[in-house]
Amino acid sequence: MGTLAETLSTPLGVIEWFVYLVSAVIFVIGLHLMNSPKTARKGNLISAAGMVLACAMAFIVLFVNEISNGFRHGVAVVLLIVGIAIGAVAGVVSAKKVKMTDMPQLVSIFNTVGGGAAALVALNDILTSEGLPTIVVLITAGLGILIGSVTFSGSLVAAGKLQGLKFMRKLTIPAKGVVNVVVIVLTVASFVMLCVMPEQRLLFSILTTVFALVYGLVFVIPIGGADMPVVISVLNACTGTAVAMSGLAINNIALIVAGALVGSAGVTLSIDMSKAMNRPLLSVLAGGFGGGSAAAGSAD
Amino acid sequence: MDIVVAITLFVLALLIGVEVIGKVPATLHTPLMSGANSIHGIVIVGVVIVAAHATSPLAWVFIFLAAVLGTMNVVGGYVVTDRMLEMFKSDKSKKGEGK
Repeated sequence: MGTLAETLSTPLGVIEWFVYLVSAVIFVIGLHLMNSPKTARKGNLISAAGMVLACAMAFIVLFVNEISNGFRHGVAVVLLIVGIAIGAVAGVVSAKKVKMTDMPQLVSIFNTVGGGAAALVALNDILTSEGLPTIVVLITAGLGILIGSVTFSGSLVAAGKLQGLKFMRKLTIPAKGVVNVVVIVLTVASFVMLCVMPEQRLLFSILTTVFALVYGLVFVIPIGGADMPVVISVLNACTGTAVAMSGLAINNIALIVAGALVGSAGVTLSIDMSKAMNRPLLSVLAGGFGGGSAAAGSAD
Repeated sequence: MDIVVAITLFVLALLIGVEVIGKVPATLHTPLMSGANSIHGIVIVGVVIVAAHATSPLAWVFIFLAAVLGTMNVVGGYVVTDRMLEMFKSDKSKKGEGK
């Protein structure tokens, strides 16, 4: 964490900065190669290499610091490594075992967990900092919690709908226009209260999380199964933005750049996807909002 | 000062994200979505960084959960994207063989 000047005051900090820059460049190249069928697989592998590089750098910095302070955060490091091992096994097993037709659901599940992780990083920053968080941290981490939570519950419902889970298909929201507005107002209100009353940050960050989780449900439940891929793409863009917000909160270039990249690439891709379905993006999303249902209905 | 630099990086990266998605054929939409999905697994770097400041049990819980979720996102994301693209390739060659 620390300020930019602090980070760049040590040689390791400068190296860290440039390694994150290199991995950001690698992500851009990787994504670009994925635009064409011939190079797509290579692009994915290149992007994975960028990820390994960024993670290795983060671990090197962690271990250098822990060795110099006698493993003062030993418990956290052990939990981190155990958590990564569990996550890696779960990720590989589910990705290898999934049937080809079930892949979109799995991508949505990965999006769910990514949004959850971004929200947790942001929550951690607000709730466990020494003293009151600054207004910048409150706003950015608050947005990280908000957007991350929406994508967490939203992507989970999207995956369930694609999987064809019956109880998810039957779910409906009565008076969805009103419910939508009420939940949005409650979510934004708790976020604003979090920013203006940092002394009550435990209460308001929990409220923001809960209302944002509810909003994710309210947003996705009314949308039909055929539109789910576009919705997942939109939620994917949201997770990218949530990660960028968490990056702004902890002042890390890797999270900011990669998150923003996924955020805007995701929106562009969502627009392309809805065009390919001959429907404007807004009418796809309108399935989840009160307005525009006539347009959505006619296109169905 | 820091937040100004950070926001500048954020906005420039947004522009790159728009530009980097060019004319994507419809068959590549899902793999590209999945590929972008694994990139936001970069959040795991954030988890490693906050672990270096974690002293309370609450922070330990957050870090453990975030590590599990974030790693699942990044590792699973890349593996499943690779499988999709591999399938893409074999589909083409099978067509060539008159499957």
